[in-house]
Amino acid sequence: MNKNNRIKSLLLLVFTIIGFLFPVIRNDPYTLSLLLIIFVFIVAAVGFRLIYITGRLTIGQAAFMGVGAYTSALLSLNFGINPWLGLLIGGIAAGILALGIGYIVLRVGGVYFVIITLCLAEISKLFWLWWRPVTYGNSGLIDVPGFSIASFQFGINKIPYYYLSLIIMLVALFVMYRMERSRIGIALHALGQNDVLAEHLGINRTRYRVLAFTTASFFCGVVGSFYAHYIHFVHPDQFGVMPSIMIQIYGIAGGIGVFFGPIVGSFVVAGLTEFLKIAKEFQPLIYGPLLVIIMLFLPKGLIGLPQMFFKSSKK
Amino acid sequence: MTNPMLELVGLRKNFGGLMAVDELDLVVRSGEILGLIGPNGAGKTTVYNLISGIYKPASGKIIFQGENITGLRPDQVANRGVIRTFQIASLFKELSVLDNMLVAFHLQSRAGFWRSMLNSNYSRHEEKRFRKRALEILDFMGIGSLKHEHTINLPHGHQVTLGLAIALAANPRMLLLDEPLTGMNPEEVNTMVSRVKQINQEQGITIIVVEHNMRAVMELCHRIAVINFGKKIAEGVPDHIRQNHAVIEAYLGES
Repeated sequence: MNKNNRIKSLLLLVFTIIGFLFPVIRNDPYTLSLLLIIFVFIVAAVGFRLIYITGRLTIGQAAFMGVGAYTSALLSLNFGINPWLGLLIGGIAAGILALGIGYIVLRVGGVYFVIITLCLAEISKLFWLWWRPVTYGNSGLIDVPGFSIASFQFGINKIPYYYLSLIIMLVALFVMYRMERSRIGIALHALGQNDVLAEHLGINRTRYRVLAFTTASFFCGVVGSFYAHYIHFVHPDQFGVMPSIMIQIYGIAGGIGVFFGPIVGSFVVAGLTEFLKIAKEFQPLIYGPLLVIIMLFLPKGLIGLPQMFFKSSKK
Repeated sequence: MTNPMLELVGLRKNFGGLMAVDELDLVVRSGEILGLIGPNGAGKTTVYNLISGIYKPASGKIIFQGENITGLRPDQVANRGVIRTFQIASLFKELSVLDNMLVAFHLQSRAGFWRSMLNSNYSRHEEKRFRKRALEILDFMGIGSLKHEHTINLPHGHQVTLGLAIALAANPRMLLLDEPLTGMNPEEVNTMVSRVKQINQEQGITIIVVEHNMRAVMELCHRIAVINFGKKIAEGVPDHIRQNHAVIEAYLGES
């Protein structure tokens, strides 16, 4: 057990160091921008899992990225609010919205909750399209300001954006990891497995589910806001159902059972998507069946792969 | 006569036209083991569901240690110290035996949100204390050696035992046991009966037992209440119940 933990910590350290040194080793804007987007989706996918362990499957998390993105972009465009502050405000806006919505919809379980979150994603998109005087509807928000430190503008240089997204991701992952490892996490897991029993042991099921939902959505808001200031453009299509489903796929394909599953899933699946771009219109033809195969033969997700391998070689 | 721990006053619950619990009055005295028996469908589990807050009564009151707890949520009832077990061994199936136990310490945790999140000294000490206590309870229940097992792999008897261990870990003042002897062989029944007695005597926990194994109920309980069609038809010490005509009729039909 302890040895296992030590190996895990060591691996984590190695990956973090690689993460920080990567631009030094390979300063290639294309790779950096790909990694940076993967970091954004890792935060969303790990948040998706945090909600999942309480027994609620959501396919609406991109809606909260949208709230963060629009809030922060609109504040910076209309009131000149600094994007750094916007990151925080975007997160808080998404968090507050999740808190309110969560108290109502998290009482509903099973497939009904899935449908509600699906509707949430779609409604949020329609809302951005509809509120034209402010959001410019289908034209989207253009020229969203980027980040700067004192007089240093991030500009079109990928490296500072890369580091910013890396740091945001590490902070988000650390908080969600701590939450799961603490007593709070035990309560969240208990709810996911048997909420009637959990409730009879004194766990307030709505409150703890709302906590997970709000935390995950707060970080979705933060990365949504980061995304807006990174690509300088916000459009309703970026936050509809499709990205929400992608978040879910990253989580499940990677392995929803363990914390690091969605992280592996985001790297592999997003990387694969990128790689398959050379196949152009045949991309879904390869991509779809591959996912089906993962679901069928790797019930624990990609992260269960080495474990399966070791087990079979032992026998 | 000792103080009442729990009082049900004129409790009613109907499901549409079916009166599941009908004007039920029941007093549970502090420190006793009360058997709640009756034929299938008599409304015993419904009474539990009313006490523990799964259902809200149509009318009537539930008073625990002088406080009206009618209509509280299950987590609030648990917070008052009323802990129940479930008919089908109800556990956290994907967690280890020890982790199952740790869930039950939720109410006793004083670490709060920030201290838990920051993994403070306090929360680490608390965790250690809970683990120690959990192991003590598992040892007491005779399943200490299974602490690292996955719950889903346990045989039925052990699952039921774990169910009771979890309830004990929640530091109850009162336990509601729902058919704790179902599916157990005679030897397991004897062990369970003596454990429940021990819990009652050594820890002073008041207990209600719903159970169909009459021999065990007679041996275990200080008093017995019999309900049929949601109404109480008899109440008293086991010897008295054994000879009660209404009870014999309810179980065997009119003679």
